Amino acid sequence: MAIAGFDPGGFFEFDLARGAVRMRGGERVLVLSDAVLAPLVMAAVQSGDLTAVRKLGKQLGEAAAAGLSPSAPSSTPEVVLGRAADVLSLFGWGRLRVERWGDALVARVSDPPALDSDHLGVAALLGGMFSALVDRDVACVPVGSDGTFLLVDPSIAQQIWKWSRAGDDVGAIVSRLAAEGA
Amino acid sequence: MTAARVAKLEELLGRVQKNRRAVAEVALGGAAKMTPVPAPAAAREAAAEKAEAEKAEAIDAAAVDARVRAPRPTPMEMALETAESSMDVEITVDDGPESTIDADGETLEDSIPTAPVETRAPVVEEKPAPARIVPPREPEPVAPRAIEVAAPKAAAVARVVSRAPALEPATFGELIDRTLALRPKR
Repeated sequence: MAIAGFDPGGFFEFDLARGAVRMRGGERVLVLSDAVLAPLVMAAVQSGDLTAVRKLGKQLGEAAAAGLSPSAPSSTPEVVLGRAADVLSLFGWGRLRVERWGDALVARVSDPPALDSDHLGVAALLGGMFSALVDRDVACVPVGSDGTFLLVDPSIAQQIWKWSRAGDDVGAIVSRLAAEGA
Repeated sequence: MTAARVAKLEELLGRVQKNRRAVAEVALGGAAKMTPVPAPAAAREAAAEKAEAEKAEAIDAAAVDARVRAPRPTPMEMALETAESSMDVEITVDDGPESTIDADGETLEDSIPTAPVETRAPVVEEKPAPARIVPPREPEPVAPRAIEVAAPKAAAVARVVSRAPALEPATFGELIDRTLALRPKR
């Protein structure tokens, strides 16, 4: 998906004289292999603290929202999600597609890095990214093992996770949800 | 009763009989001396019809007044009766039924007085005919009857004129708001 206005060219600046890689906004980044990152993510999952991964996701979201006019919440879903997919691809975290199941949003990441078996690392990264895009907390809960995630309010993330662990697929979980106050 | 009073009453009676005789002689004599004048046929018929009409009116009036008139004597009659009863000798002249004149000037005849109540034959009250015994009717078998209810017509009773459009979220913020508003159903 090519979104007009987002130019991946020159997104990273490699300063070989200083030995630094910086993003377009000036933030310094490190290039790591998934083989190194995977044990770190696994350790964070086991400790139950994926704050670092989530923070990385927020940086991706801020990068996607940068230069958007109007802002991401006021822009069309196509523009915002296109930017998010491009930034995610640029950082090597796979290809993002977003589906609408009624009012529910389902994110599918194809070819993600093999970090943990339950895709909790990618889920944390996506949650951080979408939270940065709309400036409010968004949780992404893995559903199944094929890189499918459900975007929900953090208050119901545990319930969605239980249903998912019990074997419910996306359709079954979405059918159990209804708009608040309906 | 004194002899003078008896003589007075006899004189009074004689005077009354004399007057009656004189009136009868004048009436009969007058009629005998009059020369009959043949009346025209039309006049005779008119007179006959008038007489018949007066007769019919008298009968009707009598029938009506007999029902209306109170059997009780009027105070004046009672006073006269009291005055007459004080006399020792009662003179009764049977002139037939007394006649009275009603308010319309019609001459009415009193009905003949009936016998005292004690002398009347006991009235045999007719026993009411025994009620005919009607055998109770056998209850008619009640057959189920369908209550007709107006069936709805094939045409729709309501028609959707406009349907609220399913608004698609125009912005990414609205899309996320709907997503985050989802909660488990209760």
